[in-house]
Amino acid sequence: MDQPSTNPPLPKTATEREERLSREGERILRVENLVKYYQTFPAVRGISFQVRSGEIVALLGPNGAGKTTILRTICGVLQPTDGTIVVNGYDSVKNEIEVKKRVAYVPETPNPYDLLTVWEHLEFIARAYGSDRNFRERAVDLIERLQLREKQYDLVATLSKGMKQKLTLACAFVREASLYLLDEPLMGLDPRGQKEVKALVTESAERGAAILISTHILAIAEEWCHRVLILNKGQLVAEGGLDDLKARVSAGQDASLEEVFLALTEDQQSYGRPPLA
Amino acid sequence: MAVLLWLELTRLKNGLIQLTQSPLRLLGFAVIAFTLVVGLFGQLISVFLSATHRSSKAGLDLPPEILGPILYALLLMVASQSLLLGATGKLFSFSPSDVNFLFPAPVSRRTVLLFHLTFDYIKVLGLILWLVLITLTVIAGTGGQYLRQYIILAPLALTLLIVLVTNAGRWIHLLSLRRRPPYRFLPPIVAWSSSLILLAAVGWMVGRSGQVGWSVAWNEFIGSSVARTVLYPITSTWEVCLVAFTGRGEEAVVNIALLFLLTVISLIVLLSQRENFYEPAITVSQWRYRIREALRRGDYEGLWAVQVAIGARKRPRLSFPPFGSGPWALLWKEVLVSLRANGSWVLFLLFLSLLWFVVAIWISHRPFPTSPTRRLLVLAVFGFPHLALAYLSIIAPSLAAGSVSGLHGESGRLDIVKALPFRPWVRPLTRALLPTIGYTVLATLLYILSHISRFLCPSELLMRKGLRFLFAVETDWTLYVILMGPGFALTLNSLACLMSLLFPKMTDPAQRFISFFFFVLLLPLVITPPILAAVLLFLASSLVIGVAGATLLNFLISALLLRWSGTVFCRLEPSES
Repeated sequence: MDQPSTNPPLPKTATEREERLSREGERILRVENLVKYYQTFPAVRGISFQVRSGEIVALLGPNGAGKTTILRTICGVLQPTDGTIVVNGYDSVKNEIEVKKRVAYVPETPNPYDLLTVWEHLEFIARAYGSDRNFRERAVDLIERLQLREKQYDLVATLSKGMKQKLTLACAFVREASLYLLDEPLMGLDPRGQKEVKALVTESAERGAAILISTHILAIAEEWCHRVLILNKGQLVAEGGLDDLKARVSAGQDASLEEVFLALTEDQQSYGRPPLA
Repeated sequence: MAVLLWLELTRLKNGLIQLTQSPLRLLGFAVIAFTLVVGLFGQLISVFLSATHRSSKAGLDLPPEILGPILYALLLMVASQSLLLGATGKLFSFSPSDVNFLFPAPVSRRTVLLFHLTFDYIKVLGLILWLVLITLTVIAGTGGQYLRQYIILAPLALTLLIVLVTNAGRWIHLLSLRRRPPYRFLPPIVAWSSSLILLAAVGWMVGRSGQVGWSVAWNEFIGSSVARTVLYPITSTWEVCLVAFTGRGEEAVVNIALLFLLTVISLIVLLSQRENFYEPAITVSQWRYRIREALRRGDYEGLWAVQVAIGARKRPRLSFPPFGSGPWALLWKEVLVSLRANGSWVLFLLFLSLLWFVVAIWISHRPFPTSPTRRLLVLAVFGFPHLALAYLSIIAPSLAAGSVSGLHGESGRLDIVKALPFRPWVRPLTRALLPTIGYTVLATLLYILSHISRFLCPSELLMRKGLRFLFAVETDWTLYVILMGPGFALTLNSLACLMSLLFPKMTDPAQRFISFFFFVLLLPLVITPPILAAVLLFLASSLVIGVAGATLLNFLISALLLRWSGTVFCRLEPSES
């Protein structure tokens, strides 16, 4: 199997990033002033951002910051309380089905259908989203790459948690979507699986897809992504390349993303109960 | 639609294949299928035979004059419950897989809803057919005569009624998702107006029954034009259900046709709504999934936690100060969790005790009544602690059988529990100790109340020897219950723990049954020696020695059972849960 090409390095400055984005691709996802309330609780408070073709963007933030809510709202599982989500020019509320056709979503917890086999699962996805000519080849390739070949005719109920995660990822990447929404994609994966997922993400971005990854693993954001969105309590507190973020918190060039992240979300550390004596 | 059909058919096919690979499940399925087929064929043959001699004479054992009002009340309850379930959105429940794969798929919500509704309707029809089959079999067994050729109309009408009412409820729920007033207030408005109508009906019934009696009043209510108009679907279903007695088949067919028409209209109205039901459905689905999983595992603490989370139960504010270290910390955790899970019961019991105390003091300061009814009431009040204590000692085995739910619940947390630095028997011991402590605390409370009762009880009540025994005046049997009870409770709980560890798969009905079967089988074996010892020592020496001997033997047997439980616990692996 060919080794996937390495990811281009993060752009150093804002200008460089803009130049590269305008050079590289169109705008796939546009989120404007997104607000999402659960009853009276504001989970997302007026967030705006966009993701262009070929761009890999990380969505970072402490627990409860609203990352999963944003992804679920973009893929149409949740309804925005206010604001606009546009995918490939289609409004997520007015043209829900068109948006869904263009989005591939990997949920945080893999819950595939227990009474379908691995292969049947992929077939279901192909049928639900409308299969193209290359589906079978891509499915076989993904099964091979994600080490699911031995289990392809087994029921999902017999799979381990990691295997279920691989199947969920395969269901997303078996389609040539415009926008991939990955919620903690590396959860429970072995190193080889992680490597393959990185390769799949990179290949999809090179094909021109936009990728939005929600993660707690800062190394993913640092190594895979072109841009980082940092959320805190439902608000976007920072956005940009690593250098932009470093500049924003007045961190030195040697500072890691972890230090930047902690500096930007430090008020999160202040609440909670006092430590045990 | 085609993809959803394919999905369900593939799942069904795989489920059937899986069924054939599990002998136990296959056996259970075969038994159910056999019962169904035999029952159905039996009924079909009898319907065929009786259709030849049609008669309008109603000759069922239970006369329709009695059955009619009862049936109407039942239909009213079923309809109210269905409406409420639909209006509160509790019927919009999907599997986690549907949420993850179907909701983001480019399948219209209308299609998803239609498919979901179809499955719900099939379930309702299946359940009703099953119930009717059982009823028919029972009636046929008792030799009842009725117009069998019409009996198929009743389940049809009942299904249509439930579908119609749940559709109406679902429609109210969808309207309430519009978030803006007055739509979002629809469910509470429906709940309040239904309650008000019900209260008004009950008020009218109470007033009318004072004049003509309950039966006549109820029949008047059913026949009133208001009830026939407002509750039209219920009334027409009721009439169809009674056609087997009345023989008015033509009217029933018209009623069914109208019900069908209303149901189709309700479905069209429901499917014409554009509201996004996915979001509330996710919440409902998650709760339902957690509740189902907790029930399947037998994890009643987990079930309690879900109920608290969804607001079905109040969050208890009870706490218990930490005590001890090592295994004692585990016991503290058990006490704390149990107190929180059953906190409302503890408070209720304390409140009940206080109430009893106040009532007992009030009665004791009044002259002894002369009326036999009032004397009986006085006896009931003062006899309550003694009777409750006696009842507690009788139901102790069933308490023990239910007390191991926590151990089953922990089957999902074996990774944590087995990593704790304790000897293997400590875990079963703490689990067996908890209900034993609960039993002892409750028994002690009742013992104290029984002594207060004896002290406050009017002397006139204790004229008879039987009552003097009940009130422990002649022989203080309550003392022996208190002394022997904890020992027996520990033995029973230890046995129950052992059974739950030997058959840990609560999700498997076969294992659940075997576990219970062996518990009942071994119960006499473990409690007979202490009872024998108590009797023999009492005959040879004194009752105190007998009690002490029995308790000692109980502790020894418990220790053996717990030791065995520890060995089994040691072998138990997380994957086995």
